[in-house]
Amino acid sequence: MINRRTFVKNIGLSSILLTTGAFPLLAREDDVDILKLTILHTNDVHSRIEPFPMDGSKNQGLGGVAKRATLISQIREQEKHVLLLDAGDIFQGTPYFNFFGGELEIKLMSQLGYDAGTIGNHDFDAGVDGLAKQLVHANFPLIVSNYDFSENEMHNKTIPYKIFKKGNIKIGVTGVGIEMAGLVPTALYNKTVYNDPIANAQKWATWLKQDQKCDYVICLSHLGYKYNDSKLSDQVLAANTRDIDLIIGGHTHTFLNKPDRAVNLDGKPVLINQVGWAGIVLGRIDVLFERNSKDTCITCQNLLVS
Amino acid sequence: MRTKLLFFGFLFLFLGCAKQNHLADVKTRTYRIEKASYPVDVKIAQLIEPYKVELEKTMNEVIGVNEEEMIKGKPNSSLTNWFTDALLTESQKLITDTLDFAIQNYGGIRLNSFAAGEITIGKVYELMPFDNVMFIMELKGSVVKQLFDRIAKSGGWPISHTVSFKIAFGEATDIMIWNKPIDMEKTYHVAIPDYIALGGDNMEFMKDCTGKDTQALVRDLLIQFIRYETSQGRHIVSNPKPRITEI
Repeated sequence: MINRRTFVKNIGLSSILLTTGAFPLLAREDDVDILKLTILHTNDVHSRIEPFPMDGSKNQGLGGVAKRATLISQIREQEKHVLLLDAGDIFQGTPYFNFFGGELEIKLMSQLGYDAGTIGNHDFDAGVDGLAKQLVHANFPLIVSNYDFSENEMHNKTIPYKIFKKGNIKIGVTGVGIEMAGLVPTALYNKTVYNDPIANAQKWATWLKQDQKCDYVICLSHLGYKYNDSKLSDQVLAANTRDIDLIIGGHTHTFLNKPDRAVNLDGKPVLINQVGWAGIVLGRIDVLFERNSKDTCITCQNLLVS
Repeated sequence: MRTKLLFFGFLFLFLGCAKQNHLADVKTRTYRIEKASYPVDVKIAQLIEPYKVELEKTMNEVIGVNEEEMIKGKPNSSLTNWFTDALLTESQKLITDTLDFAIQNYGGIRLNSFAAGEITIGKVYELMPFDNVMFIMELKGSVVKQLFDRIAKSGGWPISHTVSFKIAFGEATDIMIWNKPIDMEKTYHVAIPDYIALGGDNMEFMKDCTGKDTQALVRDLLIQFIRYETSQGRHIVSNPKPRITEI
C-alpha cells in the first residue's frame, strides 16, 4: 500500500540517487586523474645546522638538518610530485654562520634538494657580496621580485619567478622580501633597492596565472605573518592581491599548526602558512588537482568535505 | 551553412576534449623534528662533519683566564661591571674623542654565571651570541639623563665604571660622569650596541640622536679585550666599583 506521500518521497530519493550515482559513471567515462602536489617548506632556519644543544633550554634537542633530510627522503619515497621551498633567513644564529659565512647552509639546502628559496633580512648579514659568494654552492634559485640588485654583487643572481612542471600541473612561484631600512645596516644591503612587494607580487602572480596558465601560484614571503599595526604582512599581501593561491611566509617565527585562510581581492581563498623557525618544524601542504574535460570539478566538493 | 555547422561541430569536439585542472582539495600537516624522531641522514652528517670539527677547534681555543666566577645581576654585578668596562676599553681604541661611558642592555648578556678558569672563544659566544655591532653615539646631557631614567626604571643596566648614579623613585639622580656632575648642555660620547642605539628595548628616543657605526661586533670587542689582557700576563678580573645604587 503506497500512499501519495511515500510515493513522492521515493521519487525524490531515487532522483537524488540518480544524480549522485551518475557522477562516478561520468568520472570513469571522462578518465578523471587526481594529481597530488606535495609542498614541503621551511623558514627562518637561521643556520641551525645541528639540533639545539642539550643545555636545558626550551628547544633543546629539536631540529637538525641531518634528521630533516631523512624526513624529506621518506616523503619523497611516498610522493611523486614534491616541491621543497624556503621562505628566507637561511643565515645567522649559530657560529656556523659566523665562521663559514653561510657556505654550509647553502650546500646543505642543495643536498636536501630545495627547489627554491627567497631572501630574508638576515641573508644580508654577510653583505650582498657575502651572499653572492655563497650562491656558487646553490643548485636552487633564490626567487625575489621586489629587490633590485642592479647596483651590486647580487645583480643577475636572483630571479623574480620560476615555473615548475609536475605531471600535467604547472606551478608558478614568485617571492617578496621585507624592507631593509631600519632592519638591516645600510652597508650590508649596499644599494639594493626595495620595491613595493604588493605591486611586484601582483605583477608576477597575474602573469603566472593568466598568461602562463599556471594551475597554482605560490608566493614565498619574508614580510612576516601579521602585525598589530598596518605594517605590510602576509595577511595584507593576501587581501590586496589576486591570483596567489598560497603564501609561504617567514620572518615573524610564527608557528602555525595549520595554514591561515585569507580572502583575496576576488573573494577567493589564499592560504598563508609559516612554520616557526630553526628547522624545528617542516611544513607540508598537499594540493590535489582533478584533471578532466569538464568545466566543473567532479571530486572537488566531495574532497572538500573530508 | 553546412561548413558553419561542421566548424561548430569541430569546435565542440575540441573544447570537449581539452583537459582542465581543477583545484580539488588541500590537506596540510606539520612534522616536528624531535630528538628521537628521525634517524640522521649519514650523507648529510658527513657533509657537516669537517665544518663541525673546524668550528670546535676554534671554539675550544683558550684565549684567557677568568680569575673568579662572575655573576649577572642588577643594579650592579661582577659580570655586568666587567662586560661594560671591557667594552669601554676596546671601544675607546676605535675613536679619538674620549669616551664617557659604555652601556649594554641587560638582556643582551646571555649567561647568568661566567665561570672561573680558562675562557674559550665558545664561552664568549655563549655570553654574547648576537652579532650586535658597537655604535658611538653623541648624546646631549639631557638625553643621557633620559637614558639613565629609563635604565633606573628597569632596575639598572650594565654600565661602565665611569658613571655613577642613584635610583630614587624610578629616576636617576646624583648622576656623575668621570667624577663630575652631569652637564645637561654638554655632548657626551657613549659606546652603545646597535640594538639600543637604533631604538630597541623602548629606547625610541635614541633614534633621533647622531651616532657612528663602528662595524665592530660587541663579541669581537670582548674577545680582543681578553686576548689583550692575556698578552699582558693578566687574568680577567671585575672592577667592583659600584655604578648604580638604589636608595
